[in-house]
Amino acid sequence: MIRGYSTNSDVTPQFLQVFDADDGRAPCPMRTQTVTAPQGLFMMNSDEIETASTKFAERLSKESAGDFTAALDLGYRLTFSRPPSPAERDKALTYIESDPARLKGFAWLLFNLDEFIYVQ
Amino acid sequence: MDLNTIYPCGKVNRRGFLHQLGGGFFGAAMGAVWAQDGKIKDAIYGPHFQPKAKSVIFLFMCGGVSHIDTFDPKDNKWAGKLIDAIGFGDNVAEMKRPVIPILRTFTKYGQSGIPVSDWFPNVGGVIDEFAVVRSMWCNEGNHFPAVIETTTGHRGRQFDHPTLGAWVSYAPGTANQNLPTFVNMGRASSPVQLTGGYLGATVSATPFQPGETPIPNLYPPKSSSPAERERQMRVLEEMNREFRERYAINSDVVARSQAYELAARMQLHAPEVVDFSQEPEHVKALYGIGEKETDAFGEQLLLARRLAENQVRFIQICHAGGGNGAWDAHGDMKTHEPLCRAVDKPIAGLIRDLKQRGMLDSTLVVFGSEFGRSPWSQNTTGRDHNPKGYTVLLAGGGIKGGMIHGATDDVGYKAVDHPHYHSDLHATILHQMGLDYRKMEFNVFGRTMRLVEEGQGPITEILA
Repeated sequence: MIRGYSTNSDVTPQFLQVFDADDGRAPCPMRTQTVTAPQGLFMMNSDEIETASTKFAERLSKESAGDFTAALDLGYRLTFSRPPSPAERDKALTYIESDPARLKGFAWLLFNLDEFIYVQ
Repeated sequence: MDLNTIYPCGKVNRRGFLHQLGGGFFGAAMGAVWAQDGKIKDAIYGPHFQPKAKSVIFLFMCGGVSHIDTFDPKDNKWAGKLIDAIGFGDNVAEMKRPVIPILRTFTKYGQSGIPVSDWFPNVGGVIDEFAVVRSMWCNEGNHFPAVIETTTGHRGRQFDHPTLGAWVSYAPGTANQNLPTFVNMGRASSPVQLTGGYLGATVSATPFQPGETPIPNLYPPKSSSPAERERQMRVLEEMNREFRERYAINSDVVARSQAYELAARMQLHAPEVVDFSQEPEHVKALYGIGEKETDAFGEQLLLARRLAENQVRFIQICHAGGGNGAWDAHGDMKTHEPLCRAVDKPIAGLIRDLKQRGMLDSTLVVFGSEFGRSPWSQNTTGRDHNPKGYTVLLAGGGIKGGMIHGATDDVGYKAVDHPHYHSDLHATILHQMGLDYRKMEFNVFGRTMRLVEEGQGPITEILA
């Protein structure tokens, strides 16, 4: 993932460490692949995800011109390359409750879905 | 021969499956459950015999503590004389260097009468609990390579070798299912001291610290409301459902929902561990908490005790890390003084506190560095690196207290009596945790990896 990224900095960013980053300093015949609680904490609470959620919500809001259904569709297409199923659309609409501020929460949800981490 | 052991590539091996399925959290927790159920028989999982210690508290002084100014006194008959200083430390060419005098005064402490310098009066007060091993050595003469060697047991990083704490937490035992099995406090000299390497991120060190945020990202950003987050968590569960039903067979997906549950449990339990409000003042005072010089390290050691109480297996505390480490006293030995003051009282406090709680027998405390310091200076009043002979201290966890083991030569340069390669320390720690270093093997593409590949095994002379 970051081979060659941190050749001489003395600390690999913490979020890369929790996602099994290879720090590029040792040969890596086999990448480890783990599922850990700190990864969950990173996806839920980190500054990086907070910033990304804010920016993603701004984009969805701008490009959907206030139409929540359009914003949801766009959100699913951009993150998963597919539109939401009718059930998913209903669940998301129920969550948002026509509150534009909740688009950020919706963005956070997309980033935390299993489907965002695992490509099937 | 089983082809799987030669070409594990692309096959789901048993451990990989466990890592994904059970290892949601720092692997060891679920691994322990499985091992206890008798579902896995891999030799690497211990215990191989009855463990003496349940937890290890490893105190790593970044940069190299001077053994001859602390726990390995020498008379000053060599002072001022030039001696050979070849091929290690910062010196790669042949040269002679002047031995500098030891300015410390040593006092014999306790029933054992072990001499300790005036830089460690408090540790002196509990020296009867310590085994002072004066004859450690390693190969590497500079910080980063020596840190790699003394934490992973391997010179250089031809492979992504895991650190000692990762090996200890890989073999499951009584791990707490709500906290990590391997934590690190303080800034390490190198990320190598935190890595799970080929054993995986499940056993790498989790950064921990006293105070409001014990674990990175433990709490939601301040801008979010708890009620909204709770609502989000409920919706997340619903939105995940379809995907999880479709891919229920995939162990990663199962593990991921467990990892989120575990993250939630950590949010509940980690704050309890760092909450010192119920600790009596006299206990905090033991650690030097509230005194300017000892406050920071004291809090870390009190937290270490609380983590040990919560069955965290390996608690590593790096002191004065960053760059080469502040213990790297080339210029003037006096730079050791404030560092010694910062750790002396807290270490003694930890030993006394563990003892009064009856925890010392089951908690192994280790004090050391990547190497010691040379008898001579580089034309300064400080000392150069010395990997050829240095001291480590061990207490509790089935270690015989009040004894000195091994010795360096007249000037404190080379380990000459019972020399122990650094791996012997690793083997000793594994042994006290009920692990046989010879059984701690891990196959990486047909190459059998071990923490301990050289040396003589556990230092049996210091075992109670």
